[in-house]
Amino acid sequence: MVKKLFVLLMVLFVSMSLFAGGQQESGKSSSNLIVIITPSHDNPFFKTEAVTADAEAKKLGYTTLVLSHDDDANKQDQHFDTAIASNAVAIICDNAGADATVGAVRKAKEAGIPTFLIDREINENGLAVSQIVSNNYQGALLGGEKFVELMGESGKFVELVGKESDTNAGIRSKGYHEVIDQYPGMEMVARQSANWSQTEAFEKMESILQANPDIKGVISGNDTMAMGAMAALKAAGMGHVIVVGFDGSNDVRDSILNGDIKATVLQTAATNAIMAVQQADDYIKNGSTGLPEKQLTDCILIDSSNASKLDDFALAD
Amino acid sequence: MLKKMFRVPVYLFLLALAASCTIVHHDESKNKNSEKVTFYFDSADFDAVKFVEENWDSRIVPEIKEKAVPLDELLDMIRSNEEAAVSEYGIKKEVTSPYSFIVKGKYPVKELNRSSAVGLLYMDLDDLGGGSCVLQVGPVFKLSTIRDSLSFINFGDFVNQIEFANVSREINFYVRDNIATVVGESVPEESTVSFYGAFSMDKDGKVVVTPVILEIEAGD
Repeated sequence: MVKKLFVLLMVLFVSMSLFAGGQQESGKSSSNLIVIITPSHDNPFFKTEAVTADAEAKKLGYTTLVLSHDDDANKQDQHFDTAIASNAVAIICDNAGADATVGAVRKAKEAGIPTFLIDREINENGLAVSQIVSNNYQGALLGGEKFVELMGESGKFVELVGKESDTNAGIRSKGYHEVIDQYPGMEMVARQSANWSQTEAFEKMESILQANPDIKGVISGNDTMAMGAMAALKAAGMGHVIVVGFDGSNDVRDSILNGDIKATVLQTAATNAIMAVQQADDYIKNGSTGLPEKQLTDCILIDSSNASKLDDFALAD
Repeated sequence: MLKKMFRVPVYLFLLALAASCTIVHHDESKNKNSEKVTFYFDSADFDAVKFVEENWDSRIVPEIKEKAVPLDELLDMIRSNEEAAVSEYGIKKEVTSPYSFIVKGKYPVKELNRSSAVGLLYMDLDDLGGGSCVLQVGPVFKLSTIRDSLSFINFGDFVNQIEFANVSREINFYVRDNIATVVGESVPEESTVSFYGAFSMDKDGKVVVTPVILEIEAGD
């Protein structure tokens, strides 16, 4: 009984001091700051995430700080420190590594700042409030099926894989192979990582083509690498090779409409960013989002039939 | 204290689960590239093959059998009142995913199409888009409908997307190797098919059922 009373008193004491602290802090900085951290805006996918999250947060009355970690976990750590020092009310983050980010999210949580992850997940549950990721597996199955169909269920092909630190690179490759490997006529002649990068994909593709001038298709883990591969193929006079990407960028949309790249898989980046900010708002106001931590949003296959309706990672009805 | 006591069996269960894991290699002829290809974050800590084998008879099939609605009745209901059908029988675990339905039925076979590796068995039953309802019979299976229809398999219970994906892959492989084998290269004329399975709502109104129980009865 005495023990119970003691615990009750402790809880009261802690919650009172927290309450006071919260008031003091909000008085000090009048923080209604949401910090938005993404990879480099050079890739339009991440730019769309940042711009959309920024607009949604401002619409809901928050101030924002938009930062890029450039896929550098140390830089991301510094940005989390900035968010903690600025007494932010929430962090929206497309992270710099499924394992490397665990510590940063934990640090923010311990400082009382909730993190809402978009696009990329982390390999630990219970630290972020939300992890809203594209259903990459469902999307990769769609992309793989379309690729096989375009290839006529047979032929030599190359796979370009994304960044090793990102579970999305693994899951997309897995989804592709799950479909493709079931067709005995499909023969993979090269598989390399181009780290999501357009220039790296261009260079890798150039050297792959020297050893394999007779390939029929290239399946890529994202759109920027697909663009790099397509450029290398065209430079080698092989613009007829079937290229399929993943993301649904405007660049690839235009390439599809131009008859170059044949298909991609749209991740609804804008929708995911809006969902994250709205869930942050719910959490700030009600202490809960009412949703499970891990959430998936379905991907949509884009080809010449619907590419014209695609703009900034959203498909018009 | 009570809470702590409760935790012990959970730990023991997890420990037993971990101890019972073995790495199972697939028959290379069925999945020829997988021996050469490795995937980032694809660890052997979680054995999806074992997960599916252990749950097939004890949880997967029982849940599908318990919740299955006759496919023709469900389609009639969707045609007359989609909202009511969806709210009563629709399964949706994620905000933007389509509704899935757990169904059963016994219908005449119209045609078996094996022109693609995604073999399709057409039934004499109209779908929602002007075609006929089909059963996927492999050897290639599309979609993750069975996984996404089952209440006890949720994304949040897995470390990452890779583990969650492995579950669906192994369910489809299980169907390919143990369930769809009753369908050969051709089916006798005037056959009837009975099944339990699931399908996901499709924007073109197609109904593609993935079976977990499948029987073909030859006509007289």
